Amino acid sequence: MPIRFSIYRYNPETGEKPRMRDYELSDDCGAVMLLDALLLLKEQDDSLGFRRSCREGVCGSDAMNINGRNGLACILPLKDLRQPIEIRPLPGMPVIRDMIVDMTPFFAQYKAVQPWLVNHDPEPEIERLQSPEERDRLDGLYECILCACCTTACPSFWWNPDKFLGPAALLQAGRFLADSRDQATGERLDSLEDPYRLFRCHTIMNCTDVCPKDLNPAKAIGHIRQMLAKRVL
Amino acid sequence: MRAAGSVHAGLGEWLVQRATSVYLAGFLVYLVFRFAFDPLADHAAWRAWFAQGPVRITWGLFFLSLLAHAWVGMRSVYMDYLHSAGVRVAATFLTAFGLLALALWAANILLNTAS
Repeated sequence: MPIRFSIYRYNPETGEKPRMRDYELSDDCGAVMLLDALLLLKEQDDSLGFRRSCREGVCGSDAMNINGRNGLACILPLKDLRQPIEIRPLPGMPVIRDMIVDMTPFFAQYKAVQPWLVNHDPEPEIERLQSPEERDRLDGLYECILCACCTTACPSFWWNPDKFLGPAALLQAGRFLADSRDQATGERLDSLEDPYRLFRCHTIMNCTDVCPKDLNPAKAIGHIRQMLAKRVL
Repeated sequence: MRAAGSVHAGLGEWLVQRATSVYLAGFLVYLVFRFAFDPLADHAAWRAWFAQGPVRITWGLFFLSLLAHAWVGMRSVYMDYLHSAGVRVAATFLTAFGLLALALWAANILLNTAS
């Protein structure tokens, strides 16, 4: 039995409309993960476009929509996928070609939360120290690989991509709010207190459902809301 | 990203939505038990029940919570789906006036049952 694929193909330079194209691989092709299969398919058809790099779920390059669900092709075992395996680009993103999407809006959201440590104290001779408990508060936040699976699975992002920050950027906002070394908590909360930037989140939780690193952006967003509420209550 | 910055709003609406949902859920549970264990037989029984001040106050709070909750919810729907600013503003104003009219109607009913 061959392994069957239905893959989104689009090349704006040809002027043709996007379409789904069928592919097949023999079941003894040796592919274990979906990315292995895509690399074999690229040997058949070198016009097939997708990003990949580390092939072990660390770089986040090969995020795509697989059987209707966002994920990383490199860590999805082929045997677990329903056939024909439908592969599309991440939803809600401008497509450059095939599965390659323009990540510019996503990184603009990331940049908007100032994802760096703000500390006005003179630099210490050694590193800025944290207690083990303070360091523990970053767990579940710092591991994000910015693959955009969560943000592009979020309906609120689909409706307002230019105004809502999206779960990935908000998770990073939470990460710096939770950092004991950061001194910009007030400014960060000020910039998040907005009906569009933060409060378009309706706790749909697609973000948490699809995250390939098992992180919980919905929980981080809830925590930001609690911090905002504590300022006024 | 839109460069307009934060408008320092949204938290109040979010808190109103949470607080009113607690009251609405609690009051609906109370109503279910109230009518399950002590049903009101006729119009006169309803009038007698509503003649009590605390009953009218709890119903007044119910209507206020319901309308505030509806306001936040409808605003949210408009912000999500109505991307033309003109249409969004028009829908927001119409909803505000509609909900205010409902609030006045509810107040009228609750006050008139007192007499």
